[in-house]
Parts: sequence; C-alpha cells; structure tokens
Amino acid sequence: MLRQRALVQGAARALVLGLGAGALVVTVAARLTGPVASWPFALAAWAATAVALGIVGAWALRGLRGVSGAGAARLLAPAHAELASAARSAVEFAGDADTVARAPGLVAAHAARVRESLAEVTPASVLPWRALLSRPLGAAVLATLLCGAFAYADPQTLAGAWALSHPASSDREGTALAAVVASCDARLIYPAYLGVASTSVHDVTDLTVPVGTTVELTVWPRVHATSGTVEVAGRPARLARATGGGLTGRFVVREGGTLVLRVQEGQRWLRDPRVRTLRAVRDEPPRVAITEPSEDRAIEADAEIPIFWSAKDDVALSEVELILKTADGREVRRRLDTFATDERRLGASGMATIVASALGAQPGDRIVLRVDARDGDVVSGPNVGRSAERTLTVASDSTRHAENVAGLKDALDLALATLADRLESPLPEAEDAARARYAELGPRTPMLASTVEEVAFTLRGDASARRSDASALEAMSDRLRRSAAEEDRLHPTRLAALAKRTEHEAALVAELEKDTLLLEDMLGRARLEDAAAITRELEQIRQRMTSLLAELRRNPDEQTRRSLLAEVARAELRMRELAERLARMGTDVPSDFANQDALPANEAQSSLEGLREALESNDLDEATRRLDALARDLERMASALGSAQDGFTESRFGPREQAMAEAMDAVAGLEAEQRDLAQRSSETRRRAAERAAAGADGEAGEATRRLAERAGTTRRALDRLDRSRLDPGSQETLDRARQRARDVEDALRSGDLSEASRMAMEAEREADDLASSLGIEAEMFGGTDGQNGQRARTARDATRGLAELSRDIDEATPRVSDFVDDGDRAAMRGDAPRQRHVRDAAGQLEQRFANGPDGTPLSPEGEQAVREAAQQMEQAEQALGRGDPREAARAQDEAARKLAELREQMEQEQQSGGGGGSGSGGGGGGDESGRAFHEPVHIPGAEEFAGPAARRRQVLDAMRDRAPAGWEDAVRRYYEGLLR
Amino acid sequence: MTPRHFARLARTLALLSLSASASVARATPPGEDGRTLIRASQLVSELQLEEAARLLGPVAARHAGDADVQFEQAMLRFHRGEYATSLQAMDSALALDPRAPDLAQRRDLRELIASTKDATAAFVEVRSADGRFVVRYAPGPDAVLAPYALEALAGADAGLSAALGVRVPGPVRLEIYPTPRALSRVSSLTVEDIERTGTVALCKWDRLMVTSPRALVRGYPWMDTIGHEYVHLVLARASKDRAPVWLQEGVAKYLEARWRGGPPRGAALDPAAAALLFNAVRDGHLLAFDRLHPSIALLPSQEDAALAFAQVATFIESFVSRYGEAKLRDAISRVAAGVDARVALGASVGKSFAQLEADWKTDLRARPSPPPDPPSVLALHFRRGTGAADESLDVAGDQARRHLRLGDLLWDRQRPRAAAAEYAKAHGAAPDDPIIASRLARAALAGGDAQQAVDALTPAVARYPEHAPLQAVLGAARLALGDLPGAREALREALRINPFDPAPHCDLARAADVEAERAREDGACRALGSAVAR
Repeated sequence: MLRQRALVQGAARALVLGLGAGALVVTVAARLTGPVASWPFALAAWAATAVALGIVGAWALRGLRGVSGAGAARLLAPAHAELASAARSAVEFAGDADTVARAPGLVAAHAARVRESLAEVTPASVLPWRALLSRPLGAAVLATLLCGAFAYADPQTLAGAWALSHPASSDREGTALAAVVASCDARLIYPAYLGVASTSVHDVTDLTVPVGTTVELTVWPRVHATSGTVEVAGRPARLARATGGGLTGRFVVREGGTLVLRVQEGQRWLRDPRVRTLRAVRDEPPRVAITEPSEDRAIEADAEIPIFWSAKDDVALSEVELILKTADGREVRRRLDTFATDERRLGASGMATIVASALGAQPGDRIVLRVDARDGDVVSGPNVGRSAERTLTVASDSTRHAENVAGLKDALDLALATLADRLESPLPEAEDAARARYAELGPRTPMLASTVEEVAFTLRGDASARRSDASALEAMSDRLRRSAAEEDRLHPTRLAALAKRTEHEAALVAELEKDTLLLEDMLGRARLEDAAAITRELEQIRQRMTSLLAELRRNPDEQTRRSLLAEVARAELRMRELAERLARMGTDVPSDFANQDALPANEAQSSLEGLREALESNDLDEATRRLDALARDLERMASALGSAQDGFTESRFGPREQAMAEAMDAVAGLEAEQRDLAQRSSETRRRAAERAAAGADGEAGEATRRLAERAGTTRRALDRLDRSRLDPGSQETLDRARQRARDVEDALRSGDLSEASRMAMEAEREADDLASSLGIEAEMFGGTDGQNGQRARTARDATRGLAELSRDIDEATPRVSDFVDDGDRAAMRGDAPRQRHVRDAAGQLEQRFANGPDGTPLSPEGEQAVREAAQQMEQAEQALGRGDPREAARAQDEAARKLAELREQMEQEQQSGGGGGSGSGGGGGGDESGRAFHEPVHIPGAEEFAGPAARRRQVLDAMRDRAPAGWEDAVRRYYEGLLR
Repeated sequence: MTPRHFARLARTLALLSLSASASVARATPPGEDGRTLIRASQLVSELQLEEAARLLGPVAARHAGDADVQFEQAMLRFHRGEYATSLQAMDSALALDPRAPDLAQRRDLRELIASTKDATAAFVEVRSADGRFVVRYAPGPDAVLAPYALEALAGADAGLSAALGVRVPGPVRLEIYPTPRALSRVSSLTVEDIERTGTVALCKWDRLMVTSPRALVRGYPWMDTIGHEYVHLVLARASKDRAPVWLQEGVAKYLEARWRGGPPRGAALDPAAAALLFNAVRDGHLLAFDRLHPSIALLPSQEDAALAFAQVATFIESFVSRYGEAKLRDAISRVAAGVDARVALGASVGKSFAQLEADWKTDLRARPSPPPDPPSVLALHFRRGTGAADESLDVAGDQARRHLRLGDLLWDRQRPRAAAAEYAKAHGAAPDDPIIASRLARAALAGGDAQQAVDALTPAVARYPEHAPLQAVLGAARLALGDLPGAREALREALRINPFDPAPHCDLARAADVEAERAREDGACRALGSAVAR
C-alpha cells in the first residue's frame, strides 16, 4: 500500500513537471511557427515536447528506484527508521532458506512482530500528499499557466498552437486552414418593407435573418491580413481592410448556408476553420380565405353575389385581387384592395360583388373564383397567397333540378332511416323501454317532416318543378308532424295503453312507407328530368354553335372562332355533367326504364371532340359534319330520355296520373255546369235590372246618364295611355281595364246598374294592377323625360276615377231582387237544387283531391280550390233560394272562376310535366322534350324577364326589322345575347 | 303460354323460314358435275356436311368460276362456322351471277353470313380436351360459362348418342351471344321477337346458338337449354332434318335433361303446362295431332300452342315408356328415309298412329293431377344495359310490389332486419311469389336465421325450381346449417340458371366434396367477385 502511494505521488509529480516542460516547449514552437505549420516543423515541435516531457518525467520519478521487494522498507525510513530496518530484515530472513531452516521460530516471531508494528503505521503518515508541494512542482505549474496565458494573449501563438495540431490542413479548394479569425461581428440591416431596425451581433456563430437582409461583417483576424472574403452558399463577398485592423464587407442574404471566412496574409489565403452558419428565413405568402360563399353553389345569372374575403400576412399586405375564370376560359382580375408599404397592414378583409350575367355567363356556366393577396416583399417577392377556389354555377334548369334531386335524395335517405329504425325496434310493453324508444325515435319524425318541408320549399322556388310535387310534399310534412304530435301525446307523464301506441305505430309506419315510396318515385323522376334538362341545354348550345359556324363560314374572323370554341367548351362541360348525372342515376331509376348503355352519350362526346379538333385545325367542313352528328346524337338522347320518363312515370305514377286526369275532367265538367248556372242567373239579373230601369223615374234616369258620361270620361283617360309603350303584360292589363270600362259605360247606358257596378269593380281592379306595375317601372327606370312616371300617374288617376264611379253606381242602384218577376223567381228556385247537386259533386271532388290512389293527397291545392268554389256555390244556392239574382250570379261567377283557374293550372302542369325549362323553350318529359329539338332557340317574352323592360322592348322592336339576307342567324344571335 | 313455349314457337318459325332458304342451288355445271352439285346441295340441307364436302371439293376445283358452285361452297362453309370464307364465296356467287333468279334470297343469305361474321368476329374460342366440342363466346364475363357449357355438351353427347343412336361427327359448335341483339344478328329473329317470345336459343346451320344468361335479370336454365338444343342437333342429323316440328319438340323436351345423366326425367312438364294438359284431358279438349302437323306455330292461340307442346312431350314420353327408346330410334330412321312421322312411329311398333294416340290418352288420364293452385309463370326478364333492374315489375299485386320495393331500398342501405320486415309484409300479400320469397330468405339469412330462410324457400323452390335466386339462397342457407349435400344440389341448380352471381360459386367452393369442383368454383368466385367489386 505504501509502495502504491509512493508510485502515485511519483507519477503525479512527473506529470506536472512534464506538463510544465511540454507547455513551455509547445508555446515556444507555436510562437515560432505562426498560423500554418508544415509537417516537419510540427513533428519536430512535438518531438521536442516529448523529449522534454521524458526528461522531466524521468527526473521526477528517480526517487522511486529501489522500492521494490525489501526496498520498500526504505520508504519508512524518514518517519520510522527502526521499523524500516526491522521490516527489511524480516523480508530478508523470510527469503533466506538457510536462516528459515535453522531458526524457523525466530524468523516467524520476528515477522509477526514487524507485522504488528506495521499495522500501527498509516501510509498518510509516512507519505503525506503535502510532500508534493515542492518548488519544482510549483515552477512547473507556473510555467504551464504562463504558457497558456501567453498563448491566449498572443494571437500568433494561439494560431500556431492550432497549426501544430493541424499541420498542413487545407480545404477542398486547397486553401490552407488556419485559426486566423479571432472574432467575427455582424450588423444586420433588415429589408425596409419589414420595418425593423438594424441590430448587431458579436462573434457570430449562428445567424438567423430574413431573406433580403444586408449583413455588414467585421472580421478580426489573428494575423496581419490585408483582405479577405466571406462566402455564403457559394456566393463570396469581399472583406477589405478597415480601421482598427479588422476586415469589413457586406452582403445581402439570399439563401442560407455555411459562413466561410478567408483572409489574405501576404500572398497566401487562409481559411478560418471555425464553423459558422447563416439561416435565411423566407417571407411567408399571405393567407387568404373566401368566407362567403363558403362552398360551391348555384347562383342566379342576374343576382348580385357577395364575396367576403380575408387576408393575413406575417409582414405586410400590399394588394388583394379577385380572379374570376369564366366558362369560355377567360380570366378576369379585379383589384379588391391595395396598401401602401408604410401602412404595414398585417390583415385585411372585405366584400366584393359579382353578377354572372355581367361576365357573359350563361345558364349552366361555371365561374371559378379565388382571391389572391400579395405581400410587400420586394426582395424575393412579392409572395402571393391564394384562397381556395369556389365554383359558382349559374342557375339553369339543370342546376335547379340538381338541387331538387339532392333535396329529394336527402329526404329519401332520412325517411328510410326513420322507417328502418322503427321496423328494427319493435314497440316494447315495458314503460321504461317504451320511453327510451320514444326518446330515441320520437324526434326523428319531426326532423323528417322539416326536411320534407325544405324540399317542398325548394320546389316551390323552382318554376320548372311540379307544383303538385311541392303540394304533395307539404301535405306529407303536415301528416308527419301530426303523427309526431300524436305520438307525443301518447307519451305524457303517464304512458298511453299499449294498444293505442301499437295502433299509432302501425299508422306511422304505414305513413313512412307511403312517403318513402313517393319520395323514391319523385327522386327517380327528378333524376330523369335532370338529365333531360341538361340534354336540352346541350341542344341550345348546339344551336348557337350552328349559328356561329354559319357566321364563321361567311366571315372567318378570329373572334367568331373563339366564340365558337367557347361554346364547344360549354358543351363539353355539359356533357361531363350529363355523364355524372347519368352515373348518379344508379338504382334510383332502374335500367328497365333508362338503359344508360343505350344512350349515345359517348357518341355525343366523340362528336364534340371531333368538332373541337376540326375547329382548331380550321376544317369547317369537318366541323359541320361533326355538328350534324352531334345534333343526331342529342336528338336520340332526348328521345331515349323522353321514353324513359314516360315509362317511369307510367310505372310509378300511373294510377296517380290517371286519377289526376279524371279529376281534371271532373273540374272541367263542374266548371261548365257552374258557368251555365251563372249565365242563367246573369240573365235573370239583367232582366230584373231592365225592369228596375224601366220603372225608374226621370231623375234616376238622368243620374244614370250622368254616370254613363263619367264612365266615358274614365275610359278616355285610360285610352290616353300609349299602349305601344307598355310591355306585353301591362298591355294585356290595360286592354282588360279598357274593356271593363267600356262594359261599365254600356251597362249604364242600358240602365243595368247592377251589371255596371260589377264591371266597375273589375275595371277598378285591373286599373289598380296597371297603376302598380307602371309605378314600379317608373321608380326603376324613369324613361325619357319621365314618361314612365307620367304613365303611372295617368293610371292612378284612372283608378281613382273608377273607384269613385263604382261607389256612386252602388249608391244609385235599386235592389234588383225587388224587380224579379214570378217566372224568374220560379226559375231561380228551380236552379237551386241543380246548384246543390253541383256543390255535392264539388264536395266529392274535394275528397278525391284529398285522397289519392296511393293514400297520399292527390292535390292539396286542388282540394283547397274546390273547397273555396264549393263555398261560393253554397252562397249562390242560398241566393237562388231567396231570389237574389245579383248575389247568385256573383257567387256562381266566382265559383266558376275558381274552377277555371284550377283547371288551367292543372292543364299547365300536365303540359309542362315538371321538366320544362323556365324560358328554355323545352317541355318536360316525353314528347315535350322531343319537340323542343325541332324548335328554334326560344327568346323569352318580356313577361318572362325581370330586367329593364324598356330596353327589352327596344330590343324586341328592333328584332322585328328584317335582317340582311344571309345574316339572319348572326342577327338573331346578337339579339339573343342582348336579351340574355 | 309460357315464355319457353314462346321460345319454341319462335324457333319453329325460324326453322321454317331458314330451312326454306337453304336449298337454293341450281346446277349450272354441265353433266355429272351438275348432278353432283345438286346432290351436295341436298346433303347440305340434310346436314350431311361431311359427305357434302367430299362431293363438292372436286366440283369446286373444276368450276371455280361458277356462281352456283360458289353459292354451295358458301353454304357449306357457313354450316361449318367458317364465316369469313363463306362470305367471300357468297360475294363471288353474287358477282358471278348478278341475274340469278333467287338473287334476293342469296342477298339475304349474304347479309346473314356477313352479320354473323361481324357479330362473332371478336369471339373467344374454347375447345374440349379431345377437340370434339367448341364453345365460342364474347370476351369478358361470358368466359365463366365455358367450363359449364363443355360439361353440358359432353353430357348431352353421351346421353343422346345412346338414346337416339346417332353421334354427330363433330366438332360440335356452340356459340354464346351476349345480348338478344347479338342473337338477332345471327338469326332471322328481331330483338323484339326475341324479347316478346322469350326466345333465347336456336339450333340451326349445324350449330347451337344460345343467349348468355347474363342477358336476363335472373338468368334462365341455360344448361338445360343447351341440352334441349343438342337434341335438335342430333335429331336433325338423324332424321336428315326431315322430322316435323312437333316430333322435334316432343323428343327434345323428352330428352333435354339427358345431359345430366341419371334416370330419365320424362316429359317433366312445368306445373303450369301440367295444369293446362290436365284440364284439356278432363274437358276433352286435347288437340288432334292432325292439327299439330305440319307446324305448331300455325295454331290459332298461344294457349293452344302451349297445350300442343305439352301434348307432344307427353306423347313421346308415353311412346318410350311403352316401347322403349329403340323403337323411337327406329321411327326416326324411317323419318330420315322419307316416311311421314306419324306413319313411322306406328310402323316401328306395328300399330297405327291412332292406336298410339289412344294409348297416350290412356296414359294422360293416369297422370297425377296438378296442384289446385298452379304457380304463376315468371316472364323472362331481359336486362336493359348494365344498371340495376326493377324486379318489382314482375311481382303481381300492388301491395306486395310496394313492400318489395321498400325491402329492396332498405336492403341496399344495409338494413337487413328492416328489409326482412318489409319482405315479410310483401310475402304476406303474395305468398306464392318467388322473388319475394327469395328476398325474404336472403334477409333472414343475413339476419342470422338460416332455418327461417330454408323454411321460406323449400316450398317456393318446389314450385319455382328455375328461379335462380331461390336456389342460390337455399344453397347458402343449407350451407349455413351444415347440410352440405343439400347445399351442393341447390347451388349447382343455381349455377345452371345464373352462373354470373358470384355468391353460389363462393358457397359451392365451400360446400364442394370434389377437389376439381372446389377449385373451379373458387376461381369463378374470385373472378366474379372482383368483377363485381370493380
């Protein structure tokens, strides 16, 4: 143990002394060599260091010689001289065989004694650590510290030390590596658009700066450098000598990388080996969003659509643009906002509006819009952020049908889910289970009712949809709500009896079954009408293409060709839509009705592609052939879809359609009967009025004559309105008002005050309608010199005059019933049973409308109209009974009018078939769709158009002029464009 | 009248019209060659094609520029299925003699050959291992039919060669057409005729022509139909195409199931036809055989025609049961020799035809009476395109149809329990309907109640054995219950009607007790399953 301690102390001493010597040698060598060391020099320096170490170490370890074996006892001598001698003798006796053989007891006793003595001696007391604190060691430590301090203080020595450890190092380009840079400071000047003050960084190691930042670098070399370079990502910048001994230079950050510093010392270049990095941070593009419309949707062509947008940037926005891609491939850019650089707007939002028709979009076209925002990055930008795109489809028959289809599909899915839930969950007897079931299933019925109601609402808003479908859905929704309410009543605090609940459950399931099938039937029919509507739109496009192609043949200009190609693009879009719709038809329309494989959709697509290619290669003959082929394909497609609609409707709606046809016949029969009765009562009233006039005294006759003159004045006031300046709808109203005014005048001249009163009321109503219509037009379009306003005032004056006239006639009218003779009174009493019979028939018809063949109402609207007519009939019956021909005739006329309106509505619906286009000229199913293909493009009448009536009128008037020969198509197309 | 009766009726018409068009050759080569050409023409019309070819070859070599020789060459090649060369020869014939007196007829034949060539141009051909049977079909899904078709052909060949004593030299050609339109292109039938009458197969020009069962919504017994048409093929050869239609149909109906092996099934009338025949016997309204001659198609009503088919089938059944098939073979050989069919049948057993007729009527009276409520007849439902078909159109009764539609809608939305409830209502409204029964069973099986499915299906299958969905679901239900033999039986029947439904293939792969069948069905299951997935 003692020996080990001695060895450790010796080694420590040797190490410290060696270090001191080595440090001295290395420091000297480093000072001599400079920043770059050659291999021989470095080897020599390290060899000298090793020698110095060896010599000093050997010297330091010299005291440890002879401490092996018995010599170790020598270590005790300085502290315990006797013990050292005894220990040595004990070891020597034990190793001497003769001595051991002669006196083994003595040797053992001596050894035991020595061991006992040694046990009392500790190594620390013999060789304490403080013994190391000697002058040589202190000198060595001091030398080491001095060398280190010198090296730190002397750049050349420090560079030399690095050089000795990296002799002859160089980079890939052959530049010698040397620790020549003591430090590297940077001043960062940020791009102006960021608006950030410059900053300084001392002793750069890692720099993170925005792209575009100017870095002014100051390098402090350890050598006498005359110049230098700094290099980032392969781009060098020069460093020049500056005051203070440093090298300075600047560069603009484009991209990040390692910062390489090189300095020139004399004729040689040295590269500093220290790793420094530069990270370039790019400016993020703005984040842009369109918040409204929040999804793709359909829009009306003339509607103003608000576009809400927002944009954010991490630095500053500079510009926001709305980009609109139209169906013909154009891209329209509209600046929404701009911001000055110093404004530093980090976020912005706003609203813009677009009108599809103003962009030249036509029904069915798609407008793709997005918002782009630019930031103020003038360094690498500007960076552009783009919002997600929104597709707005200009409403057309097909989009409306698609909306209807989607609504019906949702309703059908919900109806099926509701039905399935009830079928799969039998009505439990236990109260808890029953309540749990009701809690789960109960709310679904009103939910379904709401969904169905929404679909009905959508259908109501679609002029091309069947009103009867909307009515049927409304009635369905009402029934479901009633059933839900009934179920609610069965689950109050105290649960209703199982029998009652079972009865209600059965009724509700039956209702759901009926509703589900009706929804499915409506969905199938809607899908077919949807496909037919697209086919009709395709046909309209084809007709426009034909017109354009004819024009292109006459006048082969680029504009026409582009227009034609735009129409081809439209047609291709419609074809894709048609393919999608046909694919979605799926199981909703069984292949027995619509065999999709037989539809020439692929052929039509091929014809379109051929047409495009022909136009692009300017082969107009081929284009004509392709267009002809397309016409044939579309006609076949329309025919096939028409047949499918017929077959499907016959199969799914046959009994209902039959019942509707029978009901329509019944309405017509009732109307004829009612008109006949009204005619009889009118005749009776007229005769009574004549008797009253004949019996009137001269004063009454004079009053009647004056009233007739006033009626003439009012009529002339109406005549002052220039009919030719009115739109067709107003023209018709004016005609009716004038006719009624003439009727008033005639009746008064014949002394029939009763008839005059009735006619005056009708004339007043017509005049009032006209005044309202002209008033609206005057407010919207003043017209030349306020002509519209003048016309509106004239109509209002006429209305007032008629109202006063009507009141005065009523005051002058005697009771007609007092002048009915016995014969007429008997005839009226005879008509009363007939009127009752008609009323009874109306009641039965009302029931037929209320209960269709499949259990659902045939037509709630029909039911309502017939009920109102029946009420009038009842009044007429009572009037006949009391001999009042005026009231009887009025009520009978009113009943007949209601029936006539109902019949006309039913006839219109039957003809349109629900698939007709609103202004597209095509009918709905079957023959209608087929017929549309032989008709010219339908130009909507003014009554179908909500736009500026005057302008439309001018256009329509101009259209009547004959076009130059050969230019008819082009002229017609021009006017179509104007009218659209 | 059932659809299959319509099919036979239409076939009768087709056979009449086409056989009239076959013998058009006028021998213009002089001398012996002319007589040889006439003989060759006659042999072609008698379907003795091998002998006709032997005679025609040298004549054709010597008179290559003769229009009539070219015409006969065209006809021979057409009968051999060599449509391209047949068309070339026919074009030559028309070019060589543009003033032929039968020019219009030749042009019609030319159109038929050209149409057949076009319709079959892309067909894939599969041969049996010995090369005796050739099955041609449109590339695509019909590939699944090939192994089953070869099985039916081989079975029919073995069974009918023994029964009729004549073996067709071969190769025997079967063409499978993907659609009724394709069948119309290779025959004189229009698509409307095919769909109206339910004609799905023909045997003419020494080949079998069958419509793929995928052209029909629920398939049809297409393997039995191959067996039926094979009888016509053999009988036409055996009788030198001289057997009258009533004998043709009687024998074909009697032997059509012979391809399956096992004991003869006899006339095997469907329940509706059995009821018709029973009523006629009971009321004494059987048709006299004189009225069936020469053509059943000339009978005044569809019901008379249906009755006629039942009569001829049971007549042959009666004849064979009394005198054996050897006497039938003898009678056919007499017909081939030109003897009237009625005389031939009587002569072969030493009786007059009137006595045979009396025997038959005696046998008819001994037939078991049909059930009091014979099943309704399901019309063949042709598929329109590849979309889903509306089978509710085939269901009688508005209430049943509505519940069936609801059940289908719920089934499509993965609500089997709710669907089962609706199917049960439909089943209550129309308990006899096989479509509803199969749907109900399918839903019950999906709901895990295999026994309920079997209970619903067993009576329905007895009444409607040719309704593929019934058989397929019955097989699946039996498989679920562990009744493997029963499952195999039902599943095989299902595949003999509609092999395009992957489910019976997959189930049979699990139920099969023979490795070869298991492998075949497993392959079909994978192929059709992936096709459905696509």
